[in-house]
Amino acid sequence: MRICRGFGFTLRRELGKFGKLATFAVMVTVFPLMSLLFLAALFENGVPRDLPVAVVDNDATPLSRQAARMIDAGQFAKLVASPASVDEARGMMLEGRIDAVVVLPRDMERSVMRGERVSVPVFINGSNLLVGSLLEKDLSTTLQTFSTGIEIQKLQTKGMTAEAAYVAAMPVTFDKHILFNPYTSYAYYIMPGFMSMMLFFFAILSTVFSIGLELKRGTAFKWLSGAGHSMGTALVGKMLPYTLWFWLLSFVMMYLLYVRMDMPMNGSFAMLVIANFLLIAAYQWMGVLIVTATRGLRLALSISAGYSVLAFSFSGLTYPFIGMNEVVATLGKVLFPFTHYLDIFVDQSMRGAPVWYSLGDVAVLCLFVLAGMASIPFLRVLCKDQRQWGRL
Amino acid sequence: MNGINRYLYVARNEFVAMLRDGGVMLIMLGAIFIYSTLYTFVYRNEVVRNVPIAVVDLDGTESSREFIRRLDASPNVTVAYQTTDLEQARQLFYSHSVYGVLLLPGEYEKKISSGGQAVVSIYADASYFLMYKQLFSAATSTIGYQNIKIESARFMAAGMDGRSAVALADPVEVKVTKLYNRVEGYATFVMPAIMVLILQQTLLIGIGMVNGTMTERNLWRRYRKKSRHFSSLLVLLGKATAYVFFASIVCFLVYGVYYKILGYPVLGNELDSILFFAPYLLSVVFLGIGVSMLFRYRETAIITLVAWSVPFLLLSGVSFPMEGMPSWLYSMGQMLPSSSAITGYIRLNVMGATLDDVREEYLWLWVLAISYFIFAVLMIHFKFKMLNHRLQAELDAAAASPAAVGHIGTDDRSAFSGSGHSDTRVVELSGEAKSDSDDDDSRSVREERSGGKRVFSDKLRSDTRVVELGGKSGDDDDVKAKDAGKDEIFV
Repeated sequence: MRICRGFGFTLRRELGKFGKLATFAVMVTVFPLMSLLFLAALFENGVPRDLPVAVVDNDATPLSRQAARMIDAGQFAKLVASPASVDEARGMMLEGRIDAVVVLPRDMERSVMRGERVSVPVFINGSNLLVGSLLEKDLSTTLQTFSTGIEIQKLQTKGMTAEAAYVAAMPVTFDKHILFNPYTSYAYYIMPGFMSMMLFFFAILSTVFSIGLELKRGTAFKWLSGAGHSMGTALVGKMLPYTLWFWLLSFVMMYLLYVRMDMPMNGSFAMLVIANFLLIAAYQWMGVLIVTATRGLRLALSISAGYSVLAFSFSGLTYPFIGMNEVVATLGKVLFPFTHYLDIFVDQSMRGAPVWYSLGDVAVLCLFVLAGMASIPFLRVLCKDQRQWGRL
Repeated sequence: MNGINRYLYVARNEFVAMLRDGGVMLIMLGAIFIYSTLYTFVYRNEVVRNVPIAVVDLDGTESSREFIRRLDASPNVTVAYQTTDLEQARQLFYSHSVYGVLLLPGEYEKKISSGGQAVVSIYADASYFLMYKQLFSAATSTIGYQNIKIESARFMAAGMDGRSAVALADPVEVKVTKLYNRVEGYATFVMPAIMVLILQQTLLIGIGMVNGTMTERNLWRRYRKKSRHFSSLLVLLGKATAYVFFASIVCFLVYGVYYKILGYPVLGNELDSILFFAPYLLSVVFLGIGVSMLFRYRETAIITLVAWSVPFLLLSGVSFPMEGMPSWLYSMGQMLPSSSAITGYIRLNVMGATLDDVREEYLWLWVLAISYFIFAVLMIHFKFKMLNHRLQAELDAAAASPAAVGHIGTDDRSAFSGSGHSDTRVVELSGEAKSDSDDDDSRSVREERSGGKRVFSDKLRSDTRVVELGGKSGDDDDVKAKDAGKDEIFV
């Protein structure tokens, strides 16, 4: 009963305060929603198309023009310029107008007719990894197809049927099974990471701000006593509205991913709902831990912001763990709840792995919550000790 | 005080406030070093080599083994498991032991030697893009190599000479060269962009904190005295000078020294880089000052700006190119100094372009600098206007009825008497909660004077001293007299 009253008091107090701090209210409500919508809009197209490419056509024959047409028709490339020389093309690349140059050599057609092998240099701007690898894949596939086409024609002139020539030109071929993320959509791969990052980012900042402000303004004791001198009740009463709100937003996130963006959902939806909740709770409790450890609002905010931003790099999503130094990889798994959340997300949403497979990660997320809870007695001391108040 | 002295007074005030504030220093100076070190640590190996994959060899012949050897020799993947059972490969895949599976069909050798066609199956996982790319490029290049080899062997068997056989098997040889980032390093790719962005974000937040603190502690009134009038333009120039000066030092330390120690590419001409950064720093500083006029507290900048770092980075088109995003979003992103600065900086220093090559971005940054300059002047102007109203109302209230003001104070105190601790702090809370009320300023002033000794930490007191340091030049006395008068009213 006492706990219930304390809980109710804290909840009312928190919601009352929330309304009065305009910036904070915007930060908790409008910003997270805005950032989710922003990401949905940004990745709307899934993969970048029409990456600008130039062809330096030193041959200017029907054959070379055919090659240029094929390049333009490629999946990602778009032919935007035909500079006269490689130097000119280089200048265009430095000005940011093109990302790749294909140089069709002089006498290409004649050499091909004579049965000589021609070499086609392709220069790709590698300063952007995504653009570079998409163009590399696209241009090599196109030119390979172009080359095979020539071979088939030649074999036909030697008396083979079209079908026989096709088989002879490609003794080994492949079929591609992309098990997860079958559309190889960049958006499907990166969006869940960014979106859930926004959620926990605002979750941890709101927690740290809300608790830190009590300390800064010296209202911590009032908060604690209102909750019947139970630090746990005080914390839960304070954080629960945010937990539920961000959890609600996680449904918005899933709406955007699965309904708006048509992302496939291969595993257990319930598991994801639980994982979303735990992600938010874990970061909130890590926020409690950070406030308790730093004892000051500003430093706690700086640290939790850094902790959140770094989570993305340490998660192994964009740059995988196997490419990292072992110490760094271990840190990534030990320090950041986000790493484990992403594991669950990839396993369930993309891979459709069995549910039991994700239980380990769920347990780790719970451990983060418990680690945060361990700071309760220390925070209690802080709340009672008025010398700690007003720290900046 | 003439104009130049006032300008110097503002600049000095600002500079001292910045340097003496540990929180601001941590963000404006420390953060960029901390982040760049940590990121470098994560991405240090640059590339992912030897992605483990499994090969299911249903053929088990010399030809299939040769294929596997060739695949394994590729630097991008390593054949970690060989099996004849697809189900087993699937298990390895789910347990994250391998990141892809390649299946060589039964009768592989028979098909390729009899003029048939063998179909190799690639099972790849696109949920981790970098690894998907490595497997895919290794598999396709192995297949391409095998094709040329098998075909030319056939043509040679039919009586062709070696050269023509290869020319027939692969008439057009494609030679791909990746420029500017030959090894396709991840750090080389993201770090230049991240560092430029961090510079913007830390400046914006730092400036926001300095000005938010000024508002929170009511320090703006020192620029609003009858005896010494500061125009908005003058205050802006003074503040901007301090920030730009400081940011230039940070830039030198980061780009001139630390960046090189970490080993990131600096191909551009140094003069070009300095010229390019000038409008960038100016536009960020003016934007920061303008926006910070909205911040009422010290922390507002952190909670409102930090979370946008990732969206801001994305808007520059580095992680996801502009060709992929909706054009309206890209255009909106151009309002941020970081967007043009990142693309321009990468071209200058990663690709080795000249300032002339990035003139579009360069000119646009100047447009932004000028626009945000005007924005900042206007924001300071409005800030001062509001402050004037408040000061006037405060004086009116004090003149009209000292008792009434005293009454408000008592009221607050009784309302919060439950806490039993430090009533002055609680009063501050109530004051901030409705901080638009006219007597908010006077109340906080009283806090600084009366409550300071007990509640505020030593740090704040030292900060207060810093602020008063600039005012020694003379006419602070009237303020003191005024404040003393207020103390009489309140206490």
